[in-house]
Amino acid sequence: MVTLTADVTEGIKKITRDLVKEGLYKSQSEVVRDAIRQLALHYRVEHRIGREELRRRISAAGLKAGTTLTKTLREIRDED
Amino acid sequence: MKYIDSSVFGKYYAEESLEKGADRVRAEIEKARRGEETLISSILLLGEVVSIFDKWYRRHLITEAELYEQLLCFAEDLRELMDNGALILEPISPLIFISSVRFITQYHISVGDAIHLYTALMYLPRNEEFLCSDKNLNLAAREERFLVKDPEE
Repeated sequence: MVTLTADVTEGIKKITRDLVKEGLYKSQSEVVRDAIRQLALHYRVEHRIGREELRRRISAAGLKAGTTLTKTLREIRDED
Repeated sequence: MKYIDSSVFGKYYAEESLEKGADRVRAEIEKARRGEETLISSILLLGEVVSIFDKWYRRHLITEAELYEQLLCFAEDLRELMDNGALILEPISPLIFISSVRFITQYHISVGDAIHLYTALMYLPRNEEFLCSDKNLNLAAREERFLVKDPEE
């Protein structure tokens, strides 16, 4: 289940309404899900490294640099 | 129903050797995947998790190929979790944005933290648990009487 509040700009409302009206999507939430799918396609790569190998590489990189994903997020949040 | 902060979701992409609590986070997300739990967060999570890996790429901690592979994994996970109803990503409406501003001065937290906190409050009493590994945000969430669970503790 995906919830979608109605408080979006008129422009976005119109686009999503039109997409639903044209039968391309069943609902606004389906539009959101497809946006995520598009993001996945955008980042599609030629050769998959594999999830576990990726976890191993991310962890090795963090240990080497002395940082973590959690610490990096804190830094990003403090930048605002 | 549990609120999941980006600081916890990010741990899903590392091993326990780097991220304390990563195994517990993996268990939580797998539980949701099996339909035994529903996780809620703000749509902000999407941008925050992408920003983490983008920052690692800018710092030359990971390669471009690793960045894109990571983002693909993340996007696929979000799609699957949302399609299964295991994850709700609440959009940021003007109402949420305006209502969350008071938390910035009340708890001296960032705008992102404030949006997460207000979004979590919107789902009370259905989500009493607040999964978060950010000390600042945890302090504020405890003040708001959430049952804070930090996978690192």
